[in-house]
Amino acid sequence: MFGNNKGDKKRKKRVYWGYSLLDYKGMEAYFEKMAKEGWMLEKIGEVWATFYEATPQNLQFTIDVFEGSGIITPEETEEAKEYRELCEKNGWNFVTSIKELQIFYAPGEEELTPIQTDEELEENLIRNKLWKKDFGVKVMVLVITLGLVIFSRFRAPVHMDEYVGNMIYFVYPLMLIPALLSVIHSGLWIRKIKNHGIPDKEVESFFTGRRRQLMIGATATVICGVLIIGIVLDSLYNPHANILSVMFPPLLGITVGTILRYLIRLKGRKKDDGIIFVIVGFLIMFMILGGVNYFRNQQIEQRINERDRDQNIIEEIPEGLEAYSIGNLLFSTEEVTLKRRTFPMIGQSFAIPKYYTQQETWEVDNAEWGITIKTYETRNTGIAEIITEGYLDFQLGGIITYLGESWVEKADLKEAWNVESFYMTKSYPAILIQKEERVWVIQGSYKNTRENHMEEWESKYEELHEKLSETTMYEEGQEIREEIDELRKTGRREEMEKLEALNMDVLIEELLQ
Amino acid sequence: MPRKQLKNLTEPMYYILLILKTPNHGYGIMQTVEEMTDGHVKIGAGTLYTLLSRFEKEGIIEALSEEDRKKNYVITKKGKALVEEEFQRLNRLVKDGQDILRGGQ
Repeated sequence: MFGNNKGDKKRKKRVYWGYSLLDYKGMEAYFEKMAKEGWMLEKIGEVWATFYEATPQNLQFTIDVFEGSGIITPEETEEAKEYRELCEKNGWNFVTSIKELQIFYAPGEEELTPIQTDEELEENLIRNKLWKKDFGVKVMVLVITLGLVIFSRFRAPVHMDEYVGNMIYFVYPLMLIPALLSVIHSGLWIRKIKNHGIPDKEVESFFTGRRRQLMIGATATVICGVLIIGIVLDSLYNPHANILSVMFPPLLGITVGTILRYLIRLKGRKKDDGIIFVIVGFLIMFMILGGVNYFRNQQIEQRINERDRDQNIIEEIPEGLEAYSIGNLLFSTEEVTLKRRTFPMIGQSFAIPKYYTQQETWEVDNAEWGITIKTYETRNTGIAEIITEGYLDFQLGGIITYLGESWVEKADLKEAWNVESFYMTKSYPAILIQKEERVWVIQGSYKNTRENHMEEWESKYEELHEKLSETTMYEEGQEIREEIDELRKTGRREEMEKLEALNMDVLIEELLQ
Repeated sequence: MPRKQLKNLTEPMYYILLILKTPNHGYGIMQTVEEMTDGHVKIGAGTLYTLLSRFEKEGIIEALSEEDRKKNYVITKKGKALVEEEFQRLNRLVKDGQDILRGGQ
């Protein structure tokens, strides 16, 4: 008997597995073919199946779906053993199991009672234990893929300036093809069983075997590979990109998942062990996630603090960048001093071969002005448009959304400057310009201005807030809130007036050159 | 099994319940059914396993203490009523058949 050979030092062969569980009728035929060629199945893993060398023999294989099986149920429960013993007494030798599938064999010439003798029960078993989960998982994958594709459209500016983002925007939608094909296959499979009953052993064809799985798997693998290339390129060219956050969740998920599966498969004996492992696994995962998140936030905060503390840093203009002497352009007076200059974001991606942020603080007449210019030099006008739309839809460094701001198109300025887009925010000072393949976002920062010019405004603001915290009457509180709101608007209006007094024209002319 | 409550029993179900009038285990049931029916009724191991766990869930049979890791089952009161009902039904079928086909002999 084959079973006795297991301990010997027999020649072994690993074969790419790649069957879907739904293909179990195709597997039966495949194992029989292998046995005829002198290779007996030993075990099946996630990727590989192991066969050992044996005398070529005519065998019959039968694969059954075990009633007491499940994804978080250990494969070696007492129940499973009892069931397998029952099958063995009937002449079916147990070989191995993979998830719900139990694989048995018997000499080819023997006429045995099949393991399943009631077709209705068998159909129910297959539908409930095998198909429902398969279909559910595939639909879930499709929904998640679709969600990510849609979501990535909204985050266009963020996605466009990182390689990973480019891949997600342009390549990831292709993932919908394998995801959709999987769902269709699963649906057609159960329809076939419903209409024609459970099929006999199937000769492998494109629709019953590994070639279909290989095609679906290969597409997904190529897409994942492309994303990994994106991660590598980002770590080389976009140092500020948050690669860890892209990589960490999937890596952690895969690791925890693999360990769990291993533990459930090997260590679990009782039926409930699986659930305990899953709970413990999730707890560990959340703890690690929480810990890493805390650690990262601490790091980021520390980095920001370090840069902020150094108020007088003047960074050299990096090679290859077209930097502007913003202060000299903006202020007509001669008395301007550059206090601070940084380039917090410099990077590149496929869609945007060059982008950078220039931040400067200037001292003018005892007041401090902060200006930030973000420049995108994209590959073509189409991508520049995607970025512009992304800004219009979504965000501007968070602050705009926080202030409840929105962009307003300035048609006259657009025409005057002969550009494709010209937008300004209503009261918070920000300008968005797109000309051909280039996009600029200009923001004014007035924190320092406030400190120097608006002491009166600030004390009134504080006074109102104090009043608000003391009042318990709803209506009175509402009135104070409105007053605060009005004051805030006035403050911003004053800032806007100051901005309008600047030589913005000179700056824009310089940018557009 | 999320199939609806049992109405008519299939042949294998009927024989399993009959046999479990005295306690028996899986393989024993399988053998006895084959002997009793001269091999006309065959129950696959998987099907038997599914039926036993379903009967147990529905309270038609119950598991007795295990010996040598073999689970012994026996029919319950509810199960007995069910077989009895089925027996009467089959009897009626036979009687009606006799009336018409054999002229009541």
